[in-house]
Amino acid sequence: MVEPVELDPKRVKIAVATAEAESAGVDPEEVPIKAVRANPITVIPPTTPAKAKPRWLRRIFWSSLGLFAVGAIVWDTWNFLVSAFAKNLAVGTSLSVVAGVAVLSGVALIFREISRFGREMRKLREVSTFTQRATELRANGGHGEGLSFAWGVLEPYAERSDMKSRIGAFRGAVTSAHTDVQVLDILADKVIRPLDAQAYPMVARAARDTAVGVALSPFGLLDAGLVIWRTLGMVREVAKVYGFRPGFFGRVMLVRRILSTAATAGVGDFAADILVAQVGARVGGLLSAKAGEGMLTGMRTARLGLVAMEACRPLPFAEEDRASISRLGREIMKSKEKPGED
Amino acid sequence: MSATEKAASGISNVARRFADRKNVRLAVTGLSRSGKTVFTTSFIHNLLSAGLWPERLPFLKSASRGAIIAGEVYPSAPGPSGTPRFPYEESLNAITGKSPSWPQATDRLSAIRLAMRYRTRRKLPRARGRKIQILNVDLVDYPGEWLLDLPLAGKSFATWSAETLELARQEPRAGLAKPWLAHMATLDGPGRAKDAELETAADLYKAYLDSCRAPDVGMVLVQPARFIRPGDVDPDDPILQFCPLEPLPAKAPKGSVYQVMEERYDAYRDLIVRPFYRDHFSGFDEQIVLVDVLSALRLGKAAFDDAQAAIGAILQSFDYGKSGLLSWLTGVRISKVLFAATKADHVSSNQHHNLKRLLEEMVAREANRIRFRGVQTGAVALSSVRCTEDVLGEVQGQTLSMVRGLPAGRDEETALFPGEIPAHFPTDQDWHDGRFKFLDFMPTRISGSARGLPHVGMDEAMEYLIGKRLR
Repeated sequence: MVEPVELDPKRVKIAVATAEAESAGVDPEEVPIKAVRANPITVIPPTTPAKAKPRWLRRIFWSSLGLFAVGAIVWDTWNFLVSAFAKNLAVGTSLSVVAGVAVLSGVALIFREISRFGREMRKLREVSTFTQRATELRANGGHGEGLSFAWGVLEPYAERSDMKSRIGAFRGAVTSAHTDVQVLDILADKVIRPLDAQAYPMVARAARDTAVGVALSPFGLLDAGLVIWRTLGMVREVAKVYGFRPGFFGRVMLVRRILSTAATAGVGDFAADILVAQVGARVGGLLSAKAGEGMLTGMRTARLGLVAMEACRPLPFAEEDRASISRLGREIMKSKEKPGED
Repeated sequence: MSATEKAASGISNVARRFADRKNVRLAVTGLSRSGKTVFTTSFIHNLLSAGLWPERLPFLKSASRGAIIAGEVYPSAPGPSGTPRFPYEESLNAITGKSPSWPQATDRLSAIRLAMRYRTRRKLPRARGRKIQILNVDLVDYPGEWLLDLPLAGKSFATWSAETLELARQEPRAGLAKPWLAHMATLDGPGRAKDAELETAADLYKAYLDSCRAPDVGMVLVQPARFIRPGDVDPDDPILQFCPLEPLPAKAPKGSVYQVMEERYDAYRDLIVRPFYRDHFSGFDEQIVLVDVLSALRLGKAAFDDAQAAIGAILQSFDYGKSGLLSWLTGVRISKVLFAATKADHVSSNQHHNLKRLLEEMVAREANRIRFRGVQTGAVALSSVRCTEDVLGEVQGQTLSMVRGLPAGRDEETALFPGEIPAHFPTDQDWHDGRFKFLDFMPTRISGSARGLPHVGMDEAMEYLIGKRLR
């Protein structure tokens, strides 16, 4: 045990860089933004090794279904063109030329989006070390490590003009007396929650675009391309807002979701065609089927957007502000409300 | 409270539920030197600045949401007419002035009312188009010693005497009580009372109380409190001339020592304690209990036990809990109690956790009793006005978290490691001299004090006590 002791105040240094340091005469620019300390991650081995379950059945099911989806999309497009040729050669030719141009430019668009996606994502830091560390800090309930973690989270925002006042609010609110959990709470409240509010409209916009696009597009391949292009763009925007890119698991999850959304958009079209053919090709029926399908794709895109938010957010969502579809609706309504109106 | 009074206060409660202007009476409870005045000042000032500058109160949710518009202090004090207003401006000036100091020790009762305008989130008032609401917060400041009189309100002279004498026979009080007890032995209870004898007895008793309160002894449980701080009672008034006596086997004859003392005690109880209790200490909605855990830790086991007993005695006097559905008809009762370990800034922040644990241990019995009545209790490490800074210092090759500040009575700042706050109260053997060294720090010069005072845990305390009422 250490006995009580007094020291010359000139021989000590300020424990943590906070707003108090600023008022103590330290230039705010000089307050070091420390990099987050990479904590060794303790891996707890599972007590009973998980049994390897037979996965092959599932794999066969999904891959055959995927193959079926792709086939259906191609078949659907092919049918459309063939029927056009059957009706009229000129119409068929011009339609296939237009379709060819559309496909080519669409593919180019997607490739451009992918390369842009990769380029911009590489610039961002991966989020997983931060989310892990935040969870750890919360679980430990300690004191003194929250601030250096917070500076690490804030580092990517240092250059952004929209973040200046938020970082200022965080600095003004946090003191060295706050526990790690409290620091995380303040960080979430002052900095991260406003980012959520910025991300929600992006998700909503993408959902609307895919919904309308799918409802209007005449064939499945276009649907799929549209969905891939737009959702990639959305994920990129969301990641840029948060300033972090998803970790490995987040990426895998997102890619799977993007592909499955694209596939359902395409197949849905095919399914609707069959349905309409069976029930009777009334125009109204066709239209509403398309609209319903658009709605479905829109919903799926919105879900995907929420997953993207969760995958890019440096602090895990607290239970009360977890992203959900109903919350998405509320947030959009809120952003439309003029400030000062209430 | 009589049945009619209860019904009247119940009806006014119902009325208040539907009014857009609501009231909350906050009991700031703490013994002397536990920091009530500074707490009240900081509470008011930080709440008043919460509208324009919510940064200092990140955990007062309505402030950080930006829902608080502004606050104002009423020019007159709430409560019975003639109650002086709490000198908020003077206290604030003392703390934030050119040569900052702590406000003067409180020697009289004062009260203050604060009005907070805020945007409500509740559906009913919003639906009625009353988005902006007002919450009045009433606070009372008073000498902490007076709290110890509250238990007397329900005690007879005989009971009080027996308890007080029992206490005076235990160390370290026994040593201090010797002169008084020696004089008492010469007194003849049933015999005829002589004024001089009574006066000597009362004076010796008062001297004994004073010596108990000496800083190095640190006993806090001293009754009756007006012997120490008479307030507006004349110290030479016979109403303050009594002391506890050994009970008599038979009824005391009229004019005897015992009978006179008993009469004076009854007068003290009925004319001073009960009106005070009725006028200022009933009808509270929420309560914060300020406990100076660090002093108890510094002074040792006896002081700790004494402080614990004093808290227990005081909290007996408050009404806790809801008595079912009709609680609003039976008068207001305290529905939330927050225990706060004050002066948390005297130790470095990483010790606050243990400080809070210690406090929880210290008040466990009372908290348990209160919780049984369906009342929520909480604990927090608090510093109403933070006057130190966390620093790191090297001592014998070890890096220690220390506090830097200006100790009272010195010209130079110092960096202090006050010793390690244990997570549990030490046993008798562990309690040795030199284990702790706490200094009283003076407030530092606060730049931009209009934006609120620096603090530790003040916003958590506010959220706990009145946060829901500001929704």
